[in-house]
Amino acid sequence: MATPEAPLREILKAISFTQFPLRINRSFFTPETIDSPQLYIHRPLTQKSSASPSCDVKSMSTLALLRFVGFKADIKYSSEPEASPNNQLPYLLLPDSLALDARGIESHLREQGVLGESELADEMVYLTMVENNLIPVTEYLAWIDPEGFDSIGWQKYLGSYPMIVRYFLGWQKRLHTSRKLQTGLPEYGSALDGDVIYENAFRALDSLVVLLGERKYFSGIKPGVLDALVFACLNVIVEAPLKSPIRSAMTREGSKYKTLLDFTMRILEEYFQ
Amino acid sequence: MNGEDTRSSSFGAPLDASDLDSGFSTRGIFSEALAPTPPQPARIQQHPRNSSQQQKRAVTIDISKQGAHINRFSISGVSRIRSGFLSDLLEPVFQSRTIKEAVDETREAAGKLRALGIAKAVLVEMDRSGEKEGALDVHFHCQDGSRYMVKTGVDVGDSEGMASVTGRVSNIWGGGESFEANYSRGSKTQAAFQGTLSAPLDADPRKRLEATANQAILANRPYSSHDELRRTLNIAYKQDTFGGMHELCYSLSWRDICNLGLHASPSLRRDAGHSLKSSIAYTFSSDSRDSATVPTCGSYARVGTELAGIGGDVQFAKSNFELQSNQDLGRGYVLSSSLHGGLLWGARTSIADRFFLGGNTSVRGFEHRGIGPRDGEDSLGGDVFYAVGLSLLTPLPYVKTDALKGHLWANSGQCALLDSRGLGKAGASQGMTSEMFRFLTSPSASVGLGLVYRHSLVRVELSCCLPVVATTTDRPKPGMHFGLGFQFL
Repeated sequence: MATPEAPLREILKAISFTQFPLRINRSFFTPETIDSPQLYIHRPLTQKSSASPSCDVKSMSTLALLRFVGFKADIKYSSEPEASPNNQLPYLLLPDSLALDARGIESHLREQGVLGESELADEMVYLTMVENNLIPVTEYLAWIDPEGFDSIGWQKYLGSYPMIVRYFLGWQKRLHTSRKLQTGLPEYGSALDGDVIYENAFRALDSLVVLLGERKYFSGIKPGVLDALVFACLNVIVEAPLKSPIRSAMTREGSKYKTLLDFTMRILEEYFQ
Repeated sequence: MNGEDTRSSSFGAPLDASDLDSGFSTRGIFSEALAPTPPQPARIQQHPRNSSQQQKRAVTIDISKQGAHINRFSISGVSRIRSGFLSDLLEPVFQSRTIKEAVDETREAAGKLRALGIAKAVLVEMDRSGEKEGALDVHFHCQDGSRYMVKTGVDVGDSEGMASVTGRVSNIWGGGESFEANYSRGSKTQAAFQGTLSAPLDADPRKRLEATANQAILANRPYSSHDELRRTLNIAYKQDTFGGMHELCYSLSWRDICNLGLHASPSLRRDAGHSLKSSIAYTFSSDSRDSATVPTCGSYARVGTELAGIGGDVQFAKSNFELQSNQDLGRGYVLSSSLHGGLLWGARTSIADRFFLGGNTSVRGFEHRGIGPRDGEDSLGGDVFYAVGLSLLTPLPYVKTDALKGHLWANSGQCALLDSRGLGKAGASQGMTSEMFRFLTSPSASVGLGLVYRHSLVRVELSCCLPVVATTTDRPKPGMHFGLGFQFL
């Protein structure tokens, strides 16, 4: 038997909120569409041309890896790391608007089947060695070394910001990098010592010279993740607009690191020209 | 002047502003007949207590013509007051040439002391000077104002709940200067700090110079995948005169659109990063409403213009306005109409500067920031917008209080970008004109009914919202909605 409330309930059901809005108009906004993957790498907007596309190790390493595996992506230059998912360049923007950071890009390449397993058994060990000993050199050069900060950190990383922001971000970045390097390698003690960083880097280079030997690439016939990372580090150090002990040692006549320099030049010629 | 009468009297009728109210006593000048009379009337008549006295002492004094000047001023009861400030405060008092002027200016000065927090209460005593003929001595008996204040509170408004703690130091250098520090955390504002140093100019509480520094982390994730870290320095001159509040402000603001995550849209990534805005803004507001939350009469107008590009890396011109009019139709019915609009003109505008539309305090029946440009899940805001609101407040049967009313409303508005993704996408001027015409004639709209409750601090609404017209990028939200806030469309 219907209760007195039943008609009201029926009316409310009839006026279902799902029927609203009654009219839908065409929007006044059309988003830009992405047809193909876009790789955003670091490059100062003021820099028009250069031998290498970027002075940033991670950007160069990711770009090299994409070129090694033949992954097609439009290269976009940016000096704003905040646009990336992890506040660090590079990042890859896929047509479905999903953004991938450097690790995500590597995983994506493996999922796509374009990046296989490395022939090098201890690749992870060597990757860690490079990350702990060569990348700190590039960070030291860009942010801690006074001359390096003026020509790399201040000019290339912070050059696009207004002066007040530039000062504050520069101070913040120097503090952060200094703490990071000291935390990662406690042998520095209370004061960050550039000599310790260079000594560690030379030891890593010695190991890499032995590992590379007469081979064309570290990973075997085809270049892989380790090749991309070593190439990026060495290219950034050699291309840096200031003299560092590593650059001097590598470019010296009869250097024991000549094989590494040749390796870098070979990749530059094969994949970046 | 009746020189024989030496009884004292006091009165405390308000000046034009209630802040300037003060106690007042005279000795040896007027009789108690002054008591109920404010100082504005020019003619003051004495009323003796019995008929025999009436015949003898009926006398009329025109204080606007009686010459007098202030000979000596003294003040007691305040622990901190600067001599330079006192000179500015008393300059008009010492310039007065008639009794009326002296009374008015003295009252004004006493009211300023109260308004600036230098004194909690001021009793003015005015006496004939023993030194000079036709001169007056003035003494302020003050109750010292409290110098320190700490308060905690919970604020609700604009779809956000916020808890805050505020500390205030008043009358720092003895001239009504104050410093206020505020820390708050809210549902949208993760953490905000603000410090404001405020000082009156010319010892006038209606003219203020303010320096403000603030930092806030705004969590915009519910409607746009990013956070915004904003650090701002403001220097503002505020003057309450010529029918409203005028504010001229220089602002230096460092904004960081950050923490975008994996799924932020490409349009939002374009706006990400650091930017420095250096701008000059002028705002005029005039409010004659009887209540800011649920007005029944009066009108409100606010017009703002901002010019950015004096330094920094952001260049734009921005203008916006809010108009509201309220008509009491009688029998408890109130018709309220509002019109909001804004235009942001710049080569490449940022999400940090754009306008947003939609929500319980904006166009009802849509999600917060639910009208206008949207890329994926991200509301991007618009360079141009307008919003129109019409509300009818009605009495409710069986409800005796005026605080609770029925509410019928209709809202509409539209928001768009002016660049190639928005109204400028046609490229040619003819295309833009036709899009602009469509923009103006095709607003998103909603209607509804519900209840409005006027709390002492906020307006509370419960509404059944029916969005009638929307665009494909809008987020209509039909159903029952609960709204809390100060200003509604």
